[in-house]
Amino acid sequence: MSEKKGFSIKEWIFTTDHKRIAVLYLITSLTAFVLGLILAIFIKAEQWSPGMDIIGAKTYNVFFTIHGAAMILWWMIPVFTGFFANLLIPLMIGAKDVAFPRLNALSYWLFAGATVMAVLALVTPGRIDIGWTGYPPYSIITDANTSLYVFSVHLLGGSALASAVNFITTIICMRAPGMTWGRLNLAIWGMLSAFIIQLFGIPVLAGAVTLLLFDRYLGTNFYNPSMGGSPMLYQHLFWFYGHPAVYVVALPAFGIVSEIVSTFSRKKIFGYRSMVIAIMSITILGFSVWIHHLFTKGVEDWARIMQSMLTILIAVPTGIKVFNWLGTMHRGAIEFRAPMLYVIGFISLFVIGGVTGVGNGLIAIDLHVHDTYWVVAHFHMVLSLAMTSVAFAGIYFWFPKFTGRMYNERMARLSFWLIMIGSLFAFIPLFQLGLMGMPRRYWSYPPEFTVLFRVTVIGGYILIAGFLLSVFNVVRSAFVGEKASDNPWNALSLEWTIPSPPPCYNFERIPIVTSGPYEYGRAKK
Amino acid sequence: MVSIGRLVILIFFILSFNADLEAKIPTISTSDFNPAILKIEEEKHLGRSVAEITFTDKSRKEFSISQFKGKVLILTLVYYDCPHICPLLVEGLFDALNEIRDLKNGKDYHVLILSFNSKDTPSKALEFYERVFNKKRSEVFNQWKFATTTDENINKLVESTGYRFFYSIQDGMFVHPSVYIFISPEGRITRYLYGSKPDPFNVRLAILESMKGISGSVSIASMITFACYKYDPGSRTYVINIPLLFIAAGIFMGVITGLLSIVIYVKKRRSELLLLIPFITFISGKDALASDASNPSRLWDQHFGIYLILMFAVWLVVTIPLIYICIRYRKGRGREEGDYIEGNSLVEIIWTVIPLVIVIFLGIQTWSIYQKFRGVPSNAYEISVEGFMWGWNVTYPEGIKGVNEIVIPAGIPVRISLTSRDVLHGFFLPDFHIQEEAIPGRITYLWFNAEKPGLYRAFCTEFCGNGHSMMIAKVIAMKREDFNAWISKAKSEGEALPDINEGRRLVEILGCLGCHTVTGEESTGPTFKGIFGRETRFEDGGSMKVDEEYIEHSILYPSEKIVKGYPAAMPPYRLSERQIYSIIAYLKSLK
Repeated sequence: MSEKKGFSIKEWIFTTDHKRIAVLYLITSLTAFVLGLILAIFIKAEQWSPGMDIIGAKTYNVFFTIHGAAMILWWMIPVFTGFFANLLIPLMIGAKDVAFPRLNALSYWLFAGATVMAVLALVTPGRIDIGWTGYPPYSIITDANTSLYVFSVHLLGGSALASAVNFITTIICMRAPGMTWGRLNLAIWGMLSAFIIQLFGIPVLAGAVTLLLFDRYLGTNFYNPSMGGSPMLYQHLFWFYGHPAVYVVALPAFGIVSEIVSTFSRKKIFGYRSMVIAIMSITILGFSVWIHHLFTKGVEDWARIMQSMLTILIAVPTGIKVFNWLGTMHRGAIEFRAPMLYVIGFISLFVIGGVTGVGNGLIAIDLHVHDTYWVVAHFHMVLSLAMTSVAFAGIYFWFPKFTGRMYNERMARLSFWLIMIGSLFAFIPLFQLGLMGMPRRYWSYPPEFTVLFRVTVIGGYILIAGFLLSVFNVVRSAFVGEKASDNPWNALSLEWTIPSPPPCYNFERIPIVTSGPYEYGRAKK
Repeated sequence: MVSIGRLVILIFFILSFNADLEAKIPTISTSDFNPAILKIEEEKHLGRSVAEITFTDKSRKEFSISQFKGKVLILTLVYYDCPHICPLLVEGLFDALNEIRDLKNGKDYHVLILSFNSKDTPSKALEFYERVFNKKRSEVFNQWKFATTTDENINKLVESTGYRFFYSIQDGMFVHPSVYIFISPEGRITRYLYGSKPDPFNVRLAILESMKGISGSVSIASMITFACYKYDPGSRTYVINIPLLFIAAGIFMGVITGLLSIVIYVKKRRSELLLLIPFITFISGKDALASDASNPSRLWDQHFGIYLILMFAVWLVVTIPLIYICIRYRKGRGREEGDYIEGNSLVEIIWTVIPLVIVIFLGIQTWSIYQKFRGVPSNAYEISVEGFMWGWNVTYPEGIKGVNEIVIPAGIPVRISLTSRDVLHGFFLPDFHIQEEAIPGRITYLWFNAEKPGLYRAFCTEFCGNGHSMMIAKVIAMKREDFNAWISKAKSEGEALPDINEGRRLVEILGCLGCHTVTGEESTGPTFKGIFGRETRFEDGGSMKVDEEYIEHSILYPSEKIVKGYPAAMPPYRLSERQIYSIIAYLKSLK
């Protein structure tokens, strides 16, 4: 069936091939990413001066809500757990497909359904202005159409749970002979952890938003304080998944960084074992720190202090990973192709995001910076910059594999420099704004902040231009890029041993694995 | 299988032992010499006491080892007929000791050159002494002992030090290791240093190591140097003690950070050894921060400064090596593959432990400061604040009510108890580094201390709808006398008549101007300019001239009569009658 040439829509809709599903995920999430960027253009334009510039307060609120939801729920999470997981897991473990191919297709189509629902929420009356977090009581009393928000979270959750079950099974049961746990790619370890988090966390989120739906439309009082409910309950439930969701993005991203660093440094991963231990400890710690989102919200003092300690503790395994990447590059032979550039940029900027995260976690400091632009700067530094850089590094790195074509190197480099320079101007002043007391989600702001805001607007536009250039590069190269060889990077991991793009069945024969994926520089016998 | 060579050695060993019973000196043929048999089993002998023996000096004076107690003794075993090695050994030691300026012969250590050949006599010793003698060296050499002793003593010494030597019949000379034995002031063996040209650095460290345990005789600087090195038996030299160095670096960084933050903040504020305070609190159980309980926001400044410096250091620690590695290890110029390295447990432990230490340090600090933010002093002045969409209602203990304006006495702690009328709001005072959520149905609190009179701001930090960014309250800190005067004035004003200035003030502080202009420009809501008496059409089709009743109704129930062409965006404001009539008076004046 792989012999058939030509394009057929039917084939794409009914496909159960993990590589095609991966591409579908990529198309959907890149679209959401571009939508998020367009909304960001409006949001930044509105910040040019205090008061109204181009959009009113209500529209501004709707835009930042959709911007947040699109970037987190439709771009960051799906690109890692949808696109990269689908593309890489069967190829890296030496399997012909995932464990349950049809369930995999269902995952994607649930995700697509959620996307339709989200688009509906944009165009129907009662546009959603509740923030991507949707805190009650505001989300109950506002005229926003909360039901669409809840239903699309349900569909997303269903999709993610099906994916989680599918991929955990695949990783455990379908590894090729000789692919021991100690030889798994770190990207696979990262994704395994991400799916474990999804499996444990998403039901809680689904429960939280379902109660919201009941409160809104069926007159229950789970979150209604006047009837004995508690609006804080929602926040606890939401962040119980909402915080680990960050690691759903970060852990696969860390894995991808490890792949790229090792390949372009021509060197074995430094401290493989400690990398795996770090991934696992982040997975576990990630579930016990959600209260740092509620540090100033009337939670018991002992709980705040305990979770403050646990939060800053996450810096330790994260630090191990960063230092191990340095250790991998040390005494390597580094080649600065576009994916490696993005990853080096990631390391440096991720450290800024990481250390400011420690500031948020320190309870006394958080009393000031909570819900200010400091926090906005912090999570944009981590998600918008670091993780999105990794996403593009990964897309460029495996681009020849899943398309059989090469991306445009010069365009990728230009995009990289735009992203790096833009991000510094877009986000570093936001830290200062936060320290000066500027709260987040403000449509207008006191006039003395104007200069700093204008710097971030200009930086933001440079950054957005860089991202759009990368998206353009990916789309264009998929059609007109040069033909790429099967293994342009001389990488040793299993997915590079097969043709590009891989045939439907991936491996003609299931390979027998005799060594790990990072054995660069080992003396030839 | 035992190698033939070893067997031969063994046989020779036994034979020669029997043959030369009188001298009791083992002999060997060099042709079968295996250096391993000279190996001193260091681990067996290190720390053991050296045998107590007597010996005869080159000037035929009797001495004993115990006479050197209280000083480090460097023992070098030689034989005086030795053609090359032994003189070199002695000269090498001299050269090394000569380089060490801070440790003195006779004051810190003694040197004993002892022959292991019992046939050597004091005259032989003198001969040897003269052989290595040289004018330059005479002064120090005179203090060195060149000694001989009896078979019995040599055996005792050899037994206690593990020293081995053999007589090679074939070459007619002794085979022996080139080693200096360092004996501590208490007479214990502390170190073996090998080689005939010892590194002065190693010798110095070996002496310092021997001196350890006697206080007062060694400078602190020397001890610190010594602590940074440890002996590595593999390379037979002193190497840098890496973990210790890292710990020291960590402590150093902490101290520097502390000093820096003190320097930075002392200028502005009172001196606080904040860095140590958490530990003092921990160890002594006393509240070391008690003196600062009156204003935790000062502690916040220092805490944040320390955090910032530490984190900047972390960023440098990652970024500088990153840049270096990117430059140094580029592909090309013959570098095509990286080195094959799996990892390194030691460095991995280091970069786990140091961040852990930093994190624990910051954690303890933040904990103790946070408690100051939560512990309200008993003399605090208490104000209730209720958030609503979109403003803040303020109630004073004297019964006065206000909106969006919080007047407080400066210099004494103020406790604000918070709640909300509708949705979640966040009450944030950036100048005092404190915020807390206003939650409907619950009462939360925060406290702060405005030391100086002045105007501050309170923001809403929890997203609460369209007016979220307008929800800014003024906080006015007054001197105690002024505050009291204000209170009594406000009490009497409560019953006063509506006032146009009060109306203007309310329109400004309630955030009305976020949606309504007074200049006639269009905005989210209709302009206030000329509003009174304006013919207005409503969404429901009706129309009327704006009058007092309509304005009052629109403030209390804004969603009922919506002006045509404008969104129903305004929240209800529950104001007092006087406040509403003051606003009406002001609106009337906007012609």
